Amino acid sequence: MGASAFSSPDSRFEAYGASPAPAKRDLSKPEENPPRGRIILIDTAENRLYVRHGQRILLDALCATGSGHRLIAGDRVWTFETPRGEFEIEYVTEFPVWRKPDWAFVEEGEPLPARDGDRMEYGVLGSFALGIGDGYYIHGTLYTRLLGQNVTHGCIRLSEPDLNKLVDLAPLGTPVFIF
Amino acid sequence: MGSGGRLLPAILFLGIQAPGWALSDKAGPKVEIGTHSARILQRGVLLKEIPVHRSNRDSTPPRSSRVSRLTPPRPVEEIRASQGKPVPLTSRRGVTSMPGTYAVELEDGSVLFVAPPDLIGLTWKKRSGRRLRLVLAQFQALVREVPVLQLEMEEPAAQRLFWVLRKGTEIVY
Repeated sequence: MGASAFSSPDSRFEAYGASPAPAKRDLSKPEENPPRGRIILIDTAENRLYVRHGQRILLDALCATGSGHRLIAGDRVWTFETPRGEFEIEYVTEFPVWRKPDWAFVEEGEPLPARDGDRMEYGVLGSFALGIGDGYYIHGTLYTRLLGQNVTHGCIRLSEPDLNKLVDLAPLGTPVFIF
Repeated sequence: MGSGGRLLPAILFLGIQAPGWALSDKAGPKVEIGTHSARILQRGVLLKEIPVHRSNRDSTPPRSSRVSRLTPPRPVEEIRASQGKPVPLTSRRGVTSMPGTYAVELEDGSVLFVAPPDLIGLTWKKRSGRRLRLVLAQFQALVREVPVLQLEMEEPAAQRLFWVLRKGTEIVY
């Protein structure tokens, strides 16, 4: 895989070496035709992620989803909600590096770093991150004891074994239904 | 990952500004209220079925409308950051934090009341608070002469239904 840059439609994501995304459907328009093949279901009430093919469940995994907290710092507000609706696996990256956003420093009570390099966190997101758009991912976690709870900043966390299974089961373009 | 081979590491700018609520406007799941269950569907796929103890839904053809208001509103915990102090994230908001007794106003003017089959087992304070809230909402619906659909649901089921409801959620009833 070359080092070609890939940008998401909202230009907030940049990944080098990410898999090319398939042609995108307009997910803002409801359709009643059920998707064929595998689908990923994420139940944010029960904090479970399923991979289903028809009525067959190929993966039933404990996950962690958004806390729903609203963090306020001066005039800045962040809502840590896992978005609901229909998405799809748009890109997959291996060994993702987290560039800590401002809210992570605010949450830790630390000043924002002057150097961009000080924002980088290695090895905290697991082996893979599966992008579903708008800056949201399904990724791994170091905090496995928090799986099954609403504790994240919006992303969906999985254990490393389940994350590996998901990567094997869900190719690019797999629909993701979050509810 | 399929035929993609091994991928290079990538820097993820995740959750730079989680738009959360705005994203909820994407074609989210819809809810079909039946006599014995509430079915959560997305693009024709049944995501979840929540049992309904009893309802006054009649056999008229189903109608569709969207949620305009929830009473009480969805609880949101706000945390104010202060310089130099880590934010305490001790509370865990989850489905059990959702109300079990509530009213759902729809854009077509109908109101959906959800309450447990009985309020036995709750403390007097909780019981009276919930009853009062429900009675007030029912009174308002009566005064406004709007169609009312009543659903009796066990509290965990009612909380699960509340969890999926947002302003704009399509309800077929």
